Amino acid sequence: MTPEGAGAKPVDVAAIERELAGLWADPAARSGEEAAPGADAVTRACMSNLVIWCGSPEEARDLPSEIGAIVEKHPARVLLLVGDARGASPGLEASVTAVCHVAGPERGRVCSEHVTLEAGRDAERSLPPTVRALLIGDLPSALWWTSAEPPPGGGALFQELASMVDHVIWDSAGWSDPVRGMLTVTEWAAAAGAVRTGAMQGLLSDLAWRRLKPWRWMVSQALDPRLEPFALRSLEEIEIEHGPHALPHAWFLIGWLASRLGWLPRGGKVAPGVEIDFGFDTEAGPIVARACRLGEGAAEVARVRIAWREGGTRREATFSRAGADRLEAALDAAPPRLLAAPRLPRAALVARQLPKRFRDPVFRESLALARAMAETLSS
Amino acid sequence: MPDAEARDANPLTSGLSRTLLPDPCTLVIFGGAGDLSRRKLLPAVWNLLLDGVLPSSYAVVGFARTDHDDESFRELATESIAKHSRRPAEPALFEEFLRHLFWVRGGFDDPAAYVALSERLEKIEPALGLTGNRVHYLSVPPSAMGTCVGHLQTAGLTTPTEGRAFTRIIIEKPIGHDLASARALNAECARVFDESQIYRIDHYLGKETVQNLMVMRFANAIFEPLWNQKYVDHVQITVAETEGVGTRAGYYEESGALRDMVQNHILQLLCLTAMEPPWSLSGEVVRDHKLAVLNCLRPIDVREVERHVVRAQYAAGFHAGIEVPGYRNEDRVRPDSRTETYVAVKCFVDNWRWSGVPFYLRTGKRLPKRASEIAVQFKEVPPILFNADADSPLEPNVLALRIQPDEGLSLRIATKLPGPKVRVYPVKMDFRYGATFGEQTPEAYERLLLDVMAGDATLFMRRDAVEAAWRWVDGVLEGWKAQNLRWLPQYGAGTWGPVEADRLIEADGRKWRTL
Repeated sequence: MTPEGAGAKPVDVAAIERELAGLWADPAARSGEEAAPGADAVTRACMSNLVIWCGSPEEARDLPSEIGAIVEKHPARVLLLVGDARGASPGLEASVTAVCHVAGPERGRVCSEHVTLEAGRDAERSLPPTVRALLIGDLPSALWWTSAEPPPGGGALFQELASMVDHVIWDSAGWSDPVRGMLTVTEWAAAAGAVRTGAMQGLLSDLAWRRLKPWRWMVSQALDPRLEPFALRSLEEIEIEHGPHALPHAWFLIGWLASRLGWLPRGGKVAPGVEIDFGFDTEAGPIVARACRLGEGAAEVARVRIAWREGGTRREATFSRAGADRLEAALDAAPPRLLAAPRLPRAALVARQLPKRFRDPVFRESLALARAMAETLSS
Repeated sequence: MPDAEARDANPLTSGLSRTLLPDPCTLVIFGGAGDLSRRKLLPAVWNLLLDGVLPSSYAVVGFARTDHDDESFRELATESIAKHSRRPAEPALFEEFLRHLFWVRGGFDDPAAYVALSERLEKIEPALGLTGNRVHYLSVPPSAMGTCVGHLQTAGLTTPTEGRAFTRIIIEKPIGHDLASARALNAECARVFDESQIYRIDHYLGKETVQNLMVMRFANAIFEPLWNQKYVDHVQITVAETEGVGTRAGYYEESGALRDMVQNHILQLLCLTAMEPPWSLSGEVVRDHKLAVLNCLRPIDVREVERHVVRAQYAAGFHAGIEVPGYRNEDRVRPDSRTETYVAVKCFVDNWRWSGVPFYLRTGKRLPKRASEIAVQFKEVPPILFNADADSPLEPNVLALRIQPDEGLSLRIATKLPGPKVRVYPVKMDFRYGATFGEQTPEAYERLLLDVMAGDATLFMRRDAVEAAWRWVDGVLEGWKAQNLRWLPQYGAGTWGPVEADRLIEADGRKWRTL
C-alpha cells in the first residue's frame, strides 16, 4: 500500500475481482504498514478505468511510480498490460495491489486499484477479454499506449483495446520514425472518426500536443491582434528549434498556426543537416516555416521565433523555455514576459488528459496539417 | 469591445480553454495589507500563477495607508503565501512573482494618494508590457467604499486608459446594511462605473460545490423532474460556524447574522437551489433567473416575523473542549447587545414550482461544527407496503449537498438489511470531491479573481439582486424593530441553536438535520 504500488500480490487471473475486493476488507492490515497519524481512514477512489499498454518488461520498469503520480491526481482502476514476447512464461500472469496516497490530515488515504497483467509469448490474445471483464461499468475508460511505436503498430491488440475505451492517449515524442508514425496514426484517427465506436468516438490525445499548450497560449497572447494588429496577418517567417525526437512538436505547432490562420500547405523539403522547411500559401503570400533539430537537449520545443512586417519594419517575437518551470516571450527589444509553465513529466500529462471529455477540433485540424507535412517528406 | 468579441478576434485562442483567457492586467488591492489580502487575495494570485492561468503580463499593486514600500509589501506577500497558500512558494518562479508586486501608500480618503497611484500605474504598466487593463479590488471598510469610488473617478482611474482596455471594480460585502443604504452605495458606484464594470463578490459562489449545484441539477436527467412541490417536502439550508465573533465585533455588532450571512450567502444558495433552468449559461441569463427567485420570495410581514424567524445569541459554553464566553462578554461587544449571532427562518418561494414548500434557513456562530449544506428532503412514500407501520415510518429520501467542509453530496435511500426478514434501513450514498477527484479544489477566490480578469460576471451579484435581497431582509428587520426585545433567546456555545429554533421547524412536524 505505497504510492509505488509495491507489494503487488500474484493472483489467479480468474480471481482478480475477488482479490481486489479483498484489498478493501482490511486494507491497512493487508499493507502491513504502520499508518501515519490521522491517516488510518482508507477511501477507495475511482474516476475511470485506465488501461496501459507497455511492450516489454523493460519499458514497464518506471511505470509503477508513474501510475502512483497519475492516480494521485486522477484516481482510477489501472490495468497495466505488459507484453513479454521473449519471456520464459507462455501464459498470462496477474497481480493486484492498491496504490495509495495520503490526501490530508483529515481525509486519510485515498487508494486506487492496480492490476498488472503480464502476457507471455502466447498470451497476448487473451489480454482483450481479460481487460473487458475487469473494466468497471459506467465509468470513462482510457487506453494509454506507452510503447515507442505508434499505436496502430500494435495491430489487432491495439484495435481491440481501442474499441473498449473512449479515449486513446499516446506520445508521438520519441517515435523512432516520426514520418511513418504520423502517417499511420492519422490514418487510424481518420478511420476511427468514421467508425465512431469506442475510442472511435474521437477522444484522442497526443501528449506531444498537450506539451504545447503553454506555448500556444503564450504565442496567442503575445500576438493578439488587439496588441499587435499586424502580426498574424503579415507573418513572414517561423522558425522552431526542437530537441532530438521532438519533430512532432514542431509539426503540431506549425500545423496549429496554419490551421488557425487558414494557410494552405505547399510542400516541404529536408535541407542539408537537420532543418526541414515547410511552405504555405497565405493571404499575404507564401511563407516558410522551418523546424530545426538541436544536437542535444530535451525532447521538446526549445525556441520559437516568429517574424512579421509592420509597415516597412521587420518585427520579431521570440518564445523560449527559460528553465524547467517557465517560458519566456521577448518582443523586439522589450523586457521578456514570463509564464509559469513547468516541464511536466509524462505521468502528469496523462493525469491532465484523463479528465478531458471533449473532442478537440483544434488538435484534429493540427493533426491533419501535421499529416500533410509528413506526407511531403515521405514522398 | 465586449470580451467575447475580443476573444473571437484572436483566431489563436480558439480551443484554449475559456479560463485561460484573461487579458494582461493590473490588480490594485485597496487594503492591500489587510486580512483578506494576506489570507486570500495574494495566495490566490500566486496559485493562479502556478496554474499557468494568470495573464503573461500582470501586476499586483497594494494600496493603503500602511507604511509599506515595494520591498516590505513583497515581504508581507512572502509571509502570507507561506502561511495561507494551498501550495508553497517555489523559489525560482516566486522571485519573479515578487517583482510584479508593488505598493502605493495612501489613505482611502486622500485624493492626492489616488493621483499618486495613477502616476505609479502609468510607470509600472508600460515596463511590464501592460496596456492599461485594471481591476480595482475594494477590500475596504463599508464606510470607505463610496469615498474610494469617488476618488478613483477624480483621479481618472475609473475609465480605461485607452479604448481597448478595461477597468473593473470588485466590491466586497456588506453592500449596505439595509435596502436604503445598499441603494445609495449602488447609486454611488453607478454614478462612476457602468454595471458591467462592477463585480460584487460573494466568495460562496466561487466554491466548487456551489458551482456544482447547477451542474447537478441541469446536467443530470434524474433530479430536475423531482425538483418541485410535487416531490419535495422541504429544503434546509444551513451555514454553521464554530467561531465566535472574534476580532470582528466592531463590524458584527452593527450587522448580526441576518445581514452578515442570510442577506448574501444563504439567499444566493437559495436562488441556485430554487431557480428555473436558465436558457443559457451566460452571466446575464443566469443572474436573471436567480433574481426571479428573489422576486418570488414571499415577504415576511412585520406581524408574522415572530412566527417565521428566530434570532438568538450564543451564551457561554464550550468549543473544542475549551470554555468560551458568551457573545455579550466578548471584547468590544456591548453588555446589553441585541445583535443576533443565530438566525433561523422559514420562508416560501411563491411560484408554480415551489408553491407550499417551506425553505428553512439557519446560520449561527459557536455552533458545534463548521458545516454548510443544502438539503432537499423529498416527500414520504405512501403509508403502505414498507411504510405501512405508523410506529416505524420510513426515513424520507434526502439529497444533501455539502458545501464545506468535506465537499460532496449524499443521497439517503432506504434499503433492505441483509437477512431472512424484510427490514428496511436508511443508507447514505456518498460522493466526496476529495475522495473521487484526489486533487485539492481551488480556493473560491482563485476562481473569482480569474473570472473578473476574464470579464465573466456569472458568479457575481448584480445590483438588482442585491437590492431584491435587501428588500426581503428589510421586512424581517422591521419586524424585529417592532418587537423591541430587550433580551434575545440564548443558546449555549457548542449547541445547535436555541430551543425556539427547534420549535419553529417542529411546529410543522419536521426537524433540523443533524450535521
